[in-house]
Parts: sequence; structure tokens; C-alpha cells
Amino acid sequence: MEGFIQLGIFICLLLTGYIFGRRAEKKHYQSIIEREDQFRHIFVSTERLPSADFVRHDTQLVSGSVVISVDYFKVIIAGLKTLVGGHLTAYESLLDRARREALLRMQQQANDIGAQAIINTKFETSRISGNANKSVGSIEVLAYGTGMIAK
Amino acid sequence: MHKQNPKFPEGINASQEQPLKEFFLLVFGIVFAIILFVACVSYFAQALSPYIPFAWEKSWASAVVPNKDHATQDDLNNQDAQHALQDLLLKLSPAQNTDDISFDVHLIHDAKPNAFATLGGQIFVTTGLIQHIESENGLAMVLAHEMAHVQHRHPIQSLSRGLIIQLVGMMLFSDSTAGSLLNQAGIITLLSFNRDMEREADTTALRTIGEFYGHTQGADEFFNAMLAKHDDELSVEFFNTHPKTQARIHDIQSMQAGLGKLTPLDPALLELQK
Repeated sequence: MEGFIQLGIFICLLLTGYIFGRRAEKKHYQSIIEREDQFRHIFVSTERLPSADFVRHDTQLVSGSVVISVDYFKVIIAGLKTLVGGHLTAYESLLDRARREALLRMQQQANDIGAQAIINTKFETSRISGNANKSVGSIEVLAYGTGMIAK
Repeated sequence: MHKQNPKFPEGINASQEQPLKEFFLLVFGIVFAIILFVACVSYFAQALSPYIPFAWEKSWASAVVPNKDHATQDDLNNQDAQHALQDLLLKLSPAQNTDDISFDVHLIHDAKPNAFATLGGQIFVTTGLIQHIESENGLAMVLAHEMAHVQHRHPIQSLSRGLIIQLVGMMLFSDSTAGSLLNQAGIITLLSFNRDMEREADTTALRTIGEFYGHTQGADEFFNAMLAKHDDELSVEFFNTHPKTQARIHDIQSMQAGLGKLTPLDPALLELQK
């Protein structure tokens, strides 16, 4: 009996995780694609030094940070995957969204201060919760670079 | 002149595949692998555990099962009935060829008619069972059946199987829900006997009864009593642990070696029926 209750709770959590996680992911991707089009003019590069076009520009730090959480369904599917190995596709899409969202927020900041481009872009990732129970709880992805503002 | 960010196609860094497909593939694959593994390992556990010396089993059992030194209050209240049971068991032992195995029988106060054997030759009979029996032959059949379980080492086989399932659960899923589910499956199989074990015990018990009384009249007494009150909630537990009572009665009747005179129950046990 106790086993059935546990199984029921497990399936409820799994379904909740799947339905809400899937919905959130779909909506998020839609919004990411829209905003990427919107900020396409703010060129992001990893060049350390400005090209000849930007040598007379002002520079300023721009950054974008996002914290994204994993859902129960992803935890379970990843847990099962660790038994057999292979790509953790459930986490791949999560991190892909986080990186792109961080870039977009950085571009938003650059746009707000009137920068035309961002150079020397870097990414940093850190786990901010869930360390205690060995699972990936939520992660922060930080993107930062140098915004080039025309004088 | 001004550069633009390129538009990359979707699905390079993140898979576009439906995650449910992967999930079910993983679940079924892993469940199948676990079932196969558990089946293999428990088969070996079952095949090898009869070779564990009975003395070892006895010493493990003394840690978990109450023995004579720690008689419960129920035991003390019914010393006469307890002795009558133990006497009957001792009388049956030579007929069953159980030289190296010793038994302890315990009477439990419980209205549910049931009898079971656990590790170390500990046999438990409920007062409810004695109330459903008319002659010594019927009780002897039940006792011989439980003795046969011990003799064929069924408790230790079930224990090994159950422990292995639990061990696999612990290894694979240390603290998740799946682990605790597998753990419970292990506990359920821990001390339950399967149908083959029941049949083996029936066959041995019948041989013993035939040898001891010279006939097997009354051997199906208890099963008939249980079948007669099938709808009674008291017997539900019995049917859960001992499936196919009708088939067993049929087996017993087909193996019966003629009719004979029934032996009456010991007075101390008759006292319990009042």
C-alpha cells in the first residue's frame, strides 16, 4: 500500500515536471528566437581587441546573467541516463536556453547604453543550489563582455 | 559595413527530440535489465542457499526469531498446548528424515487461521488454525508441511532472494523512489514461498503423513475447512499466501494412500477449541 502511494506521488511529480517543464521550455525558446532577431544588430564577438571600426569608441562592461532551474522530469531522465551513459539531452536544452538567455540579456544591456557591438565575450557557469543532495538544482550562466559605444 | 549576428539553425546544441520517447526507452530498457539481472542472481541464490549449513541458519535466526529461552507471555499461558504441538512435531520428525534439522514450534494467539515456517526451523501455528482442525491427522499435515518447508530450506532461499533484490535496489538507486520501491519488492519476497515450494512441501508432508499413520485420511482437513469458509474475511490472508487451495486439495486427494482411522487431537489442543 505504502509502495503504491509512493509510486503515485512519483508519477504526479513526474507528470507535473514534464507538463510544466515542457511548456516553459517551449515558451522560452519562442521568446529567445524572437529577441535574437530583435538584437541581431548588436554584434557579439569573442575578439579580445577591437577591430579598426571601433578604435575610437568608448568601452563599457556589459553583462547578462540568468538562473535556470531543472524540473523533476529532467532529474529523473538524467538519473536514468547516468546508468547507461550518453548525451544528457534533457540538460543540454536547459543549458542551451540559459546561455542564449544570458547573451540576450547582455545584448539588452548593450542596447540600453547605446553600444553597437560587444567584444571579448566570455561565459561563466556556476551551480547555485541543490549541491546538498547531489543533484543539479539550478544553475547560473553569466555572459559578459565589452560594449563598444560610439562617441 | 556593420556586422550582424548570424542566425544558426535550431537543434545543434539542444536536441529537438521528444523527451518522452527517450524516457520510455530508458525506463523499459533499465527495468528489463534489472528484471533479467535479479532473475539470474536470485536463481543462483536459490540454487546455492540450500548448501548453507543448517547450524548457521539457526544461529542467524536466533537473533531475530524468539526461541525457547525468550518465551512470550502467550507461550507461557498455553504451555500444555505448546508441548502437545512440540510432541507431535517430534513424533513426525523420524518419518520426515530430518536428522540434522531441529524444529521449534510456537503457538500464537491469533484468530486468523495460519501457520508458517521461518529461518532456523521456527514454526508458528495460530490458535485460529487449531480451531479449524478436527483430528490430529489434519494438524500433523499442517506441521509436516511447515517442516518440509524448513527441510527443503525454503525460508533461507526466500531470504536470499529477497535480500538480493534489496541489494540491487540499494546499489542502483541509493536514495531515490525507485530504490525504495525495489526495496519493498524485496521485503515482500523476503519470506514468502512460491507455488513450486508449496507443492514440494505438500508432497513431502503427504509422504510423511502416509508413513507415520499408515494412511493419509484427514490430510486435507485444514484446506477443506478453509475452502468452506472462502468468503470469510478470516481466511483471506491464508489464500493470499497459499494460492490455489482447490488445486492443492485435488493434488492431496490424488496422492492419498487409502483411508484409515483418524487420531483424535491432544486434550490440551482440544481445550483451545473451546
